[in-house]
Amino acid sequence: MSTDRRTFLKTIGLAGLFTIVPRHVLGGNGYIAPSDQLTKGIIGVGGIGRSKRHFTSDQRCRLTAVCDVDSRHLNQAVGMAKDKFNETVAAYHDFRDLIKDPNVDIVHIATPPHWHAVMAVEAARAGKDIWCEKPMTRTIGEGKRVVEAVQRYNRMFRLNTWFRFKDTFYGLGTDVQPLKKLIDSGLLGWPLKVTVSGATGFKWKFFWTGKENLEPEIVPAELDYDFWLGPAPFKPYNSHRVHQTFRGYWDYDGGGLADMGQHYLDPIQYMLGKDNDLPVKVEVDAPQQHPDAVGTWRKITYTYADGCQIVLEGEKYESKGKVPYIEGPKGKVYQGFECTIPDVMNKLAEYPDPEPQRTDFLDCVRTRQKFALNEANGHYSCTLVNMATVALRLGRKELAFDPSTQTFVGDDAANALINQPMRGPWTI
Amino acid sequence: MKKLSVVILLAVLLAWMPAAAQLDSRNRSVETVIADGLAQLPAKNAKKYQALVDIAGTGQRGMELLCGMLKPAAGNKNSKFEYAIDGVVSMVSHPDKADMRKGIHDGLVNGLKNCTDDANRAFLLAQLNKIAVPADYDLYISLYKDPYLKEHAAVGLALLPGVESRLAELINSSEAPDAALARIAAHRRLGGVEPALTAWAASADPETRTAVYNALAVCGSEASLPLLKKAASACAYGNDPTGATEAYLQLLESLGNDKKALAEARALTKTSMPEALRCAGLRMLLKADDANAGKYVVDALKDKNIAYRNTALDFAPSDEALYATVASKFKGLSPAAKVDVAHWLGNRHVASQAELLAANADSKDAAVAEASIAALSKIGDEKALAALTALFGTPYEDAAQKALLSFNGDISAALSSLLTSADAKTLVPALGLVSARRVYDAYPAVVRLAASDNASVAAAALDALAGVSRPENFAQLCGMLEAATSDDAATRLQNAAKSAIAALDADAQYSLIAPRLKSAKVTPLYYPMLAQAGSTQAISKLLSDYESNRDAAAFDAMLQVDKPAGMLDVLYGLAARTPAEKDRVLNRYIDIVAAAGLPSADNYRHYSRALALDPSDDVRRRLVEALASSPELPSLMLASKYLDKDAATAFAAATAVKTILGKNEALQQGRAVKDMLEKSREVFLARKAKGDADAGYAVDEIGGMLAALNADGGFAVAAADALTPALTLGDDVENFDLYFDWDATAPATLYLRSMPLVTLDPAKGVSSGSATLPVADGWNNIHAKMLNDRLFVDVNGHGLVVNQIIATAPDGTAAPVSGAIRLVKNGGDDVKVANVYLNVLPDTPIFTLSDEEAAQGFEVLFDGRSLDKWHGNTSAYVPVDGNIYVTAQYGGEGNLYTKKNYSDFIFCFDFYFDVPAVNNGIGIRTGRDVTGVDAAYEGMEIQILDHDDPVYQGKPFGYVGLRPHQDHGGVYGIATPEHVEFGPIKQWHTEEIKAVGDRITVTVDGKVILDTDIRKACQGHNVAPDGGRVNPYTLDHKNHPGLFNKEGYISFCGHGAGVMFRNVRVLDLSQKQKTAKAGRKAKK
Repeated sequence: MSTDRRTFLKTIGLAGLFTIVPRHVLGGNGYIAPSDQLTKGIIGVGGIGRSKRHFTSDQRCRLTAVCDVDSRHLNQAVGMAKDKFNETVAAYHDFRDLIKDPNVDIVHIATPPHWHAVMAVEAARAGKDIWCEKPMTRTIGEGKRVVEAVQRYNRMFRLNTWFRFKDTFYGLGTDVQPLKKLIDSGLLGWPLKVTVSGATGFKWKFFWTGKENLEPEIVPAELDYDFWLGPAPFKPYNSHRVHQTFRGYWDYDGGGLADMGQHYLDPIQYMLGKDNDLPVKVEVDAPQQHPDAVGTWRKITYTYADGCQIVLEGEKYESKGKVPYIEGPKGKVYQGFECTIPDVMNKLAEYPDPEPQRTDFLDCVRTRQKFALNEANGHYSCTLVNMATVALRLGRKELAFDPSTQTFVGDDAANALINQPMRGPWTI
Repeated sequence: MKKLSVVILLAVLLAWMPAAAQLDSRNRSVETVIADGLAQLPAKNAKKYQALVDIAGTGQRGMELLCGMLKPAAGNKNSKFEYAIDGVVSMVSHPDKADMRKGIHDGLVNGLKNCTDDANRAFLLAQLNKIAVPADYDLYISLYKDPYLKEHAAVGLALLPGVESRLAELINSSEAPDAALARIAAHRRLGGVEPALTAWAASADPETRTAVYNALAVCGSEASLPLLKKAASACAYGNDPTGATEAYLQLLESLGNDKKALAEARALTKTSMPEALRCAGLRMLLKADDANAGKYVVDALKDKNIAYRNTALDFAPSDEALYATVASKFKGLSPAAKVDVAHWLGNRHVASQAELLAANADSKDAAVAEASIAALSKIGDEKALAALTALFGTPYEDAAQKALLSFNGDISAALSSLLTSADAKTLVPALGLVSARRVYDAYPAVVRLAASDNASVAAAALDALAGVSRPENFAQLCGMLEAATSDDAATRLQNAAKSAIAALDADAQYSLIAPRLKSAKVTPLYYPMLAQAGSTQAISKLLSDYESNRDAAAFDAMLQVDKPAGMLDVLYGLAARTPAEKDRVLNRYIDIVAAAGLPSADNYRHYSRALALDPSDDVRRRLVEALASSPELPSLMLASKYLDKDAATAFAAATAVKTILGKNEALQQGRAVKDMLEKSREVFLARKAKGDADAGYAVDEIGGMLAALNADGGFAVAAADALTPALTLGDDVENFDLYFDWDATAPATLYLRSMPLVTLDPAKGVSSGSATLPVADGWNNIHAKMLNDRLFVDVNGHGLVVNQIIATAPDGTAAPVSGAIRLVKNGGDDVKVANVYLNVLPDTPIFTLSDEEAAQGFEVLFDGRSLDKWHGNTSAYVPVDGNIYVTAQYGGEGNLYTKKNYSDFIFCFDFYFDVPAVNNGIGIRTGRDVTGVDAAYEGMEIQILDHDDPVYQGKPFGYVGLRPHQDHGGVYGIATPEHVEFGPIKQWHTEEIKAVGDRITVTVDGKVILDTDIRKACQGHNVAPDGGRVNPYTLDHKNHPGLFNKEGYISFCGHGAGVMFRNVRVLDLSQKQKTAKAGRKAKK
């Protein structure tokens, strides 16, 4: 497929096809002409990149390329594409080659987080649209840079967590739309406190911790470890650093908090109407963190300028008794949309539903309308995660934050973790 | 000679003076502070963070010592030291800790210079990055030249404050291109380096060019534009690996509204350029030249490329004039561009263009119409409302209805007025919306329409009633319900009636429903309403109707009740009595238990009784899964029974087993637990093989548990026959841990060690001593544990008695050391027990004196079982396995003192270091005080210390580590012992401390390591002769006012958890002397 085909698709394709029948008629399983088919390439096919949800190829979007620095994973993915979809996909070792591939419209970044920014910027530069797994970036500075690059070229970007528009969270027992509607209605009052805890249904992946005292090991022949590390500082190889367990190390991710936090925090930013806002303070109560291996924490509290708060309650296991998910001056909501406001569903029905969100990424790619969770609000919700990891890593009980500059107030060491220089030759 | 020796001694002492000045407020040397601190790291809570503060207080010397403790990673464990170094450096990087920073910084720099292991150097360098100062520049430059550290140092140089000009100078003086320096320049946005970078750009090496272009983009000026443009055009403005195009764009954008820059941006928008570049160019024009934004947007909308058109719209300024301009051109736009504009106006909520969108809401072009409709919904203007309702009955009705559900404004009046229409096409969607948006004022109109001749209108109106009815409408709705002629209508009216009263509390709802329950004919119509009310009366009405007529509707209604408190027992009862419906009821029951938010231990009771009903596989699996929410032994044992079932149930069981054991480490012992862990691991291994990433973590976690597990002992299942009249679990048991489920209608007494310590009374609750906890109906879970002199009792997971010393039985006699465990009925009624798990713990080994010591008159101070000869901190000093174990589990502060006073004595004991570097001490001849006495100064402290632990080594920096007088067995600060080589920890050692007058003799493992006269040791000056704080006569240069105390208590002075003592005995020599004297007198 050439750039010309893409141009055709976005101009003639839309003008010709979509003026004849309403677009929704085309959705679902309807026939899609090959010229209207999008294509994607996946970078990182070890874990999530090869999962059922992501390793897909269908009429609407065909899988054409895969990339991994572990040749075993790469070969498995190529084989899977053949077995599952009868597709012969291009296999790349270097993500830059996948991005360059004219047969790839959408670059799906499914690597560990320390690579997300470098790859997203590279893909944007190449004029590709981007599907990026959470967390969006490992630092606040990288997030800003991704926003800049994506917007410079006006690319479509999807940050992949979806609770702001569908599904209950891991255990909340309600999806976000009624909560958003309830908050917008003002029935709970203002400001609000949102508590994410075992008692509200959430399970922090506390076992996603790293190991201390790692013994240096021989790098397996199939793995290009230096490339795997990429922008991360060089440390002697140990198998626990890579493949699935990378989540337990600050250099690549940040444990259950960093890896799962955006799932929980992003819908809250949305619900509170704070897609363009950030907290002014983060407070952390945690045991001391190891400089390399991520540990656990007890409580993280974000406070916004208007007094709204988000509390991440990390006591290792479900706290006893009931804790409201959202608490306002006029009412509380618990897991499963149990609300202290009597007859809340009837009261709520008097209010308009929240504004519909654009939740079909392929449709966004075609119509050039921003996806519901894009580089801008994705960067904001990821910034909440990354504010907390800075406080954790430095053992700060509290950090003041200036949302307008996206920097910490009066703490140089904390600010140094906002823009972390990369290991050469990587840079963004 | 004597004089000379004093001079020499003084000289030596003076040389030690700086060291003395380094003692902290608790008289600890740097080495001790660090060792104490390391033993407490990683800091688990705010209190433990004090350890970091203490270490930070040791400043440069302490940091040097810590750095020296790092060993090459292979075969060595550095994490303690890494925690300490990182913790301290992070702490002093805080703005409030600037005063402590310099010492730590200097220590870290020296540590880094002296470190030889590459990985450790990289670690220390990363630490230095947090607190580096401009003066470190040369160090960084030297490390930058080291092949291993180059990239690490480059990161540091990118962050090092205050060295901009020196870096610029370095870059400008370096003729050879240096990619890393270029990256540093880029990161710092360094000024004054443009010429050098420009020169470097000629490099043939793509990595260097990448770095240089990237740097010029942020460090460069307009002067660099041609260079970057040339590079970008050389790759046809494509995605060249050097990033030339990106750099060019960045620099261009930074120039803002510059004529030349605008011309270049305009050139980028040519159709011959790649799409992304065109977008970038257009965005620049819109940002830099907003005066001409209208023109840019209008032109762009003519473009065939959708991304380009939307770039114009996305980055156009918010400007009413611009919206008007675009609207004026709307008609002439292509349909695709119209769609873009409609989305745009909606996204921006441009109310002023509602009319334009309204005019296009029924466009023949479906995409234009849909985009317009969606935009109208977001805008929420009155014109928008009219346009949307006008779409009822058209092909866009669905879209319009959807738009109105989220319509940003009040739609009730408009909808109400639509209900006067005669047209079914309008009425049906209007009724739907009236209901969905709860337009209560429309109630009379909806009732009227419910009688419509038009069937679809009537049905829509009956449906709509649910959305517009209130309590005052309830009676009318009931009338309509009772008169309903079809099931369909009845169902709709039931929903309406439910909805009408939903806002009322349960009892109020019931009081409205009750008068309607006049006959067996109409009563079933009200079951859904009774279910919604869920009051006690409503539930019992449903239950009695079901019980008396087996009414399926009543049964179904009970499953709809949403009130956990009232339903837990009802549903359990239904499940037990209705085998055919067991699964359906239990599924509901599981939801209700989870929703009840009970304390976790209470969940066991609810889930276990449901499992006992033998439900289907699916329900059983849900119940097993749910057991994980109760991390106690009974849940663990129950869950483990399902590890052999079908794969899904086994996975649920394995997850529960892992979760429970993870939550409750105390359960990790015994053969049964080992077996269940091994089975669970197999289950997870099978999942892992299928690519489940979390299963990999689970396998690791279980592997860790198994490695640490002691398979001996543990819990056993005890037979639980009926109590006739008593259940006896053992006749002569000393230490044990017992769980059982109990259900009774009459009281019973639980005898532990043959003492009636716990009373189980279904009416009054479970009590022990003066403590009582209430019990639930049916089964309750009881946990009782006795270990040495301590008792623990829990009821459904609530602590009734915790770590309580049982010295006397309830009848006032001395508590027996062992006895029967019996549950005895206090009457003839039914008392049931089940799931009895007993862990008979080893008998406590009892220490008795040897014949020889007995003959000498020694007294046993701790026999292994009880601390009755001791006073003070009996909650942190706990008898375990015949030893005194120092723990932090139950809180408690201060020292443990003998009850008697001793002057001259021989004190013997064995000691055991259970954790490395542990520190304790034997205080002698001290006073006694709950808040603790500093024995070293208010008496004497004979040091107890794992002094060979690496944390006490300071050799890399030429320090001696511990002062000699701090070694184990020394009289702290006064007299130095011979150094004992302990070998590995976790071994027992013997010790004897003999104190006779001023002579102190310490013998460890049979060898005399100290034999000193304390008065001579300080030349009689236990306090400074000049009354000052510095005492040149003592080894620690401190005053020891209590050194010459004639008598006092003996104590254990704990610094931290992890040391054990046993075989503690004393021979009171003064008593002996008195006796001897008395004997001699008597003879005379």
